[in-house]
Amino acid sequence: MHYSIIRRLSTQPKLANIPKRKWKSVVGLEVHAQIASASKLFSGSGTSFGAPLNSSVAYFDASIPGTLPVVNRKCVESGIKTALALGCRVNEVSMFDRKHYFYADLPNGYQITQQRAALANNGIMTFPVITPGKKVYYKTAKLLQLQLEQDSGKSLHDDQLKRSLVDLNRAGLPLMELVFAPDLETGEEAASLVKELILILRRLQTCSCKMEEGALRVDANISINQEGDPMGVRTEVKNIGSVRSISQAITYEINRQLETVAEGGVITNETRSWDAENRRTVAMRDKEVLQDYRFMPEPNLPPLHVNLKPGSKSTEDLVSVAALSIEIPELPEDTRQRLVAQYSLKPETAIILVNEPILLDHFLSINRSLSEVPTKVVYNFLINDFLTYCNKLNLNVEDCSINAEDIRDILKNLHGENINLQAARQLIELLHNNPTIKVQELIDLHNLQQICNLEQIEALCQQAITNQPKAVQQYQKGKSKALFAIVGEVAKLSAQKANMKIVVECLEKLLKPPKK
Amino acid sequence: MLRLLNKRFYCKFATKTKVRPEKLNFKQLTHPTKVPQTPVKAAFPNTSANEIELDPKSIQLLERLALVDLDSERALETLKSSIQFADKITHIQTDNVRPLYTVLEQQQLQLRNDLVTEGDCRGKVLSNAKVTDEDYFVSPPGNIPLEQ
Repeated sequence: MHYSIIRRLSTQPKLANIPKRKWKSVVGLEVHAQIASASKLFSGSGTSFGAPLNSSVAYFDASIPGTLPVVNRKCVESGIKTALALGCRVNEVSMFDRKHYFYADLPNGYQITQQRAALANNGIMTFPVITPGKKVYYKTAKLLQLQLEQDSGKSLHDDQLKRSLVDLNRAGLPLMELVFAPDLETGEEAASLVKELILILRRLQTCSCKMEEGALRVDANISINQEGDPMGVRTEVKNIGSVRSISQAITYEINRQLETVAEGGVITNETRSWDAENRRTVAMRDKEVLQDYRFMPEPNLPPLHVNLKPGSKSTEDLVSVAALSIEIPELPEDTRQRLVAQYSLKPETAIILVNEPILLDHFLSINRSLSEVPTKVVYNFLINDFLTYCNKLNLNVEDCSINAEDIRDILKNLHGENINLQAARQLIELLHNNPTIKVQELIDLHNLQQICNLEQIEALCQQAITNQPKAVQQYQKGKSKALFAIVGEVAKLSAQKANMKIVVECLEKLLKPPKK
Repeated sequence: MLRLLNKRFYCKFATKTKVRPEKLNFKQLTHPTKVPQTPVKAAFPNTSANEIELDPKSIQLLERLALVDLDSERALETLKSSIQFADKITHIQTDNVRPLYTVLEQQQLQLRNDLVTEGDCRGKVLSNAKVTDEDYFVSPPGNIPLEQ
């Protein structure tokens, strides 16, 4: 007894010497992007979102015996374009496989996908990570695989009557599945990757990226481990429906795992669903036992060949990768670098402009049509005033009714000293509330013209000097900052309309100590 | 259904074959073939003596995966004889043999232009379902969050 106590005491300091190892979080993403096409991947039925229930369903989509899949050429081309934009190696031969599982919205009992040989592998994505209040940095994630596959139908769960309602309009829609390596650490990095991916896919026009319509879906694999240890058991979070949710869901899940471990619990390999309303992840019933998908080659589809020869042209049944690579437009990162080089923007400014495509369009079109206004004035107004206003209203810049022409008119008036910055800001709000009225009319209607008349300004300044005797005294004693109080008074007296440059000059002249 | 099959030929190879009106003689070959004309039975090891044993857990898993009821003695016998039959191929020496997934490997997969040519047949498609409701198929409840 005595002995054991001594022993325990003697081991105590030893334990304390072992440094506490930090916990690390590891995040990998799987993205399903619906390929923008008129018809489905293997059948000729339509793809429009919100079509009447079960109307965009061909016999093949409903798995009627005797029907066979025929591949949509556009889907192959879009997949290759996306793969090229993400720096992938496109495979000369890729194959289709069946992945089996029983599910009411999967009429065949299997999904046609690419497992053994995907369309493309080994891509890479480098993207800026924007975390509020932190410095922007670039992160790189490997793209392991890009494969073509069909979507399943859609189920609505009826809890009261304990049944599912199935709509097969989505069954057979073309998807690209992008599997990223677990190279990320935080929710913000994951959200930034998806944001960049959306920019790229929109440039390529290979996916609408409307997450609210399910055209882009993100699953996240998340695990934690102590530094130096192998990766921990991962959970998969599904059902993430917006870019904002990606960062929230992953941050929540990392913290949940850290807490579970801290309380002595164990992380189990499970699928969890993101509950956006209550901002938490919930375990799903599926995957209690590891699913056996019984992959097998799709016997109805021979391998898909593509032409990898440089300079080749596409033929009826053979798509040329070289021909498609010419069609790839300028990608977001190239645009950022071009903006930095051409307009001497700061990298941060270029990132903000490129990440809001509408803002970039406005910037470029205003720069073209209004060359007399310095670019700095243009992007400052777009970012500090226009974007800030939209953010304040929680409004997507894309959904804002104010167009480039309106902003150009504001900037023209601002640069011509016809209005001042306060009035320009006021005009954004007025335009948003009265989308049919033009800028010039609004200026007249709300009497927003800047006061530049010297006599008028002098009168206002005299008034301000009488109203602010204390500030005048301080200023004349040599405290130059006191002038701001008097300038502010003039602004107030003129309902923010006085030309401040003239006001300052005028005040300096009036308050100059009389010559001795 | 035949019409559908004709429409959905998926490779050039198939579209090039001419449909002959007279009855086909399958024994007579129009093109040279490398496929042996007589089955090579000797290559298969005889496995009919091997007893197939199935533990209840595997049977349960098979029932779940295949949605087949294996409760009856006859169903179980059929399953065992199927396994025995297929077991032959697992004993064939295939080291250093590249897997052949389809005899059409060298053919180019036919591609279809991105046009809407089908669909709009809700009535016909739904007529196959036992239970429907307001143009939906109705099924037993699916995968839903645990806490609901």
